[in-house]
Amino acid sequence: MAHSRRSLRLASLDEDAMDMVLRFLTARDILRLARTSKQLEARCSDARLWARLYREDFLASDGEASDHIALDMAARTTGLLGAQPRSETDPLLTPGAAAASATGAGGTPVGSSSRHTGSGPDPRTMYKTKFVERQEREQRARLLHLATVAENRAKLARLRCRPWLSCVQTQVAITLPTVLLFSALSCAVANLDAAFPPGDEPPRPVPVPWWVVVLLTAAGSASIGFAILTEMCVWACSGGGRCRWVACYGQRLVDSETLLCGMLASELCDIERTHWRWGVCQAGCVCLVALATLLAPVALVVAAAVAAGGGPHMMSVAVVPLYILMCVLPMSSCRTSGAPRIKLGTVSVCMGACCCIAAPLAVLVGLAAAKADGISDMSAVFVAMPLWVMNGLILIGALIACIVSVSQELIGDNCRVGQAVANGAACLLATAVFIAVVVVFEALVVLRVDGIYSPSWGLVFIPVFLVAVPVVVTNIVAATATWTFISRRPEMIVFLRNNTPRRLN
Amino acid sequence: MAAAEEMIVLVSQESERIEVSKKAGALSALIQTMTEDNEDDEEVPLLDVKAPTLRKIVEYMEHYKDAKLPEIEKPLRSSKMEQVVPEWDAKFVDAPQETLFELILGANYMDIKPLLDLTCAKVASMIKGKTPEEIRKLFNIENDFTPEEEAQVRDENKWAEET
Repeated sequence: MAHSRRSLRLASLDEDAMDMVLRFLTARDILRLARTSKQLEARCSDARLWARLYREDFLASDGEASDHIALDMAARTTGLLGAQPRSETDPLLTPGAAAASATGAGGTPVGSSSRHTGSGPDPRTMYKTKFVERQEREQRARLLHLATVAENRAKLARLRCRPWLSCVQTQVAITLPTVLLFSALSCAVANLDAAFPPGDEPPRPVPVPWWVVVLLTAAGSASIGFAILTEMCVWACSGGGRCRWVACYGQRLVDSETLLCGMLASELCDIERTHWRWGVCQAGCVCLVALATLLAPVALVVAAAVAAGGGPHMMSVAVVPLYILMCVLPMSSCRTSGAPRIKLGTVSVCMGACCCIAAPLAVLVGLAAAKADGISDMSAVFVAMPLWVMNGLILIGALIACIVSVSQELIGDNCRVGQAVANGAACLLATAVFIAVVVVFEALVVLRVDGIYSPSWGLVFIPVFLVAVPVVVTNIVAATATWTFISRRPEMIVFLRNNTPRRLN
Repeated sequence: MAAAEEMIVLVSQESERIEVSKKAGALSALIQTMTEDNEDDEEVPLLDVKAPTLRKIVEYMEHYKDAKLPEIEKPLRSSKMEQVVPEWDAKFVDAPQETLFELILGANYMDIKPLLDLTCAKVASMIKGKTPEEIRKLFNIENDFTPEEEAQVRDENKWAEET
């Protein structure tokens, strides 16, 4: 094929060569080239060029027959394709096509005859529409990909931070309420000593204002509630196993807010999603328990303050939150409420055990309140009768548990007699010590109230402090063990690190 | 000793005679057609190709007479030729613009599709990723748009830039 002998420039390349150059460029580069001069703009606006680009970029994957027809129509309006098959439209194979557009000179638009002028769809416009759609799709996919990567990194960070946070959280959750409540108890004991002095001594002014005691008690109770709330938030935000409701909400699987609340409650109470009504009941119970736990000590302290001032029947009113607590306690835990995942036998045992504790306590509270208000004049020994019953039941239950535990050790495949004996002894010793200390405390209270033995209230409450110390130490040890256990499980971190972020479309 | 290779003579615009093996010459559809049509005549006149360009084209044909011709990806994935074609090819087209355009015209005239692909790919690689101003400067293109026309073209083509 002939070509003119002018000084060689890009714009002076003949159409075939120029078309060949353009074949190696993307649409973006072609459009940039089009902005350089009128001549190149005309060349880059060629309908055949855009029809080819459209075909290569979109039809190869989409296979839209209707677009093929539209493109043919568009090309025919330019008079370039004629009736030739598409495979023959390659300019290198059809020299005749080259004649359709002039090489142009002097800034006159070249190939103007190949510009789209017909009424059919313009290939460039069609390309633009598809291109913009694809760009938007890719942009969305990119953003979702980035979001997924960020989410996975956040999960990894949480996994790294979680053990430390758990440890701190546990320590704070244990230490803070313990310190606050025992401060309140110490102040209350000092005040009781002043208000109800031993023997025939006249009452003295209380050393600590009662509002301080109320404040300390409320703060202690609130800190427990805060620890529970924090844990709930961690569950909800963890993105791990316990946030099904969050995932369902995100995927719009739930369109009812009521159902969502039910699922949230189920989640927090560790119940399967399908049994969300159980979750609602349990969440209600949990809330009542939390409220009663919060109100009971405060009400008791206020009642004690009023009683010290000679107010009538205040104790009977003050213990109402305790009744609520006793009623809802057996239902508050999924392990004691008959949740569908728990076997019936386990439920019965747990419900029985809970009632054995809750029922005597409720009777005790009622009797004690009546005696404090002067409604009943019975001896404190009889008032504390439910306590003796409860202690006996706990002791029997603990003994049975120890025997079962030791038996299981002995009949197992890896029978280790020494360890079984050690476990049994430890179990019995712990139970005996706990029960002994509690019984001593109860006896001291009874003797003090009946006036048989009148030591300081501080002395009466010493066993409570003795019980509290090992409880705190045990919890601290447990928290440390949890920390060690979690921090020695790097496989989860490795899994997340190697897990390719899922691409969302 | 191997038999002597059958040669043909290419005659440039300046009447310079350049020898090339028949096997290498077969890369050009034009040479092949002309040698088949005139079997007795061993000279092929290529009056539209200058001697330096013809020598360069012969160098290409001799290099690829036995080797497999590489396919160049469309569109180019990089503006660096070394990353899209073999090293020898990249060096071969690393030439001044005038030579490059002469090669394009020569390859087109002699109908050597692989060489046309390679040289056009080189030009495309020079355009790829550049702004209109950079392209103008590189190829010495005169901007004949009025400011209004330029703004209009820019607006029309904005969709390809907005990502």
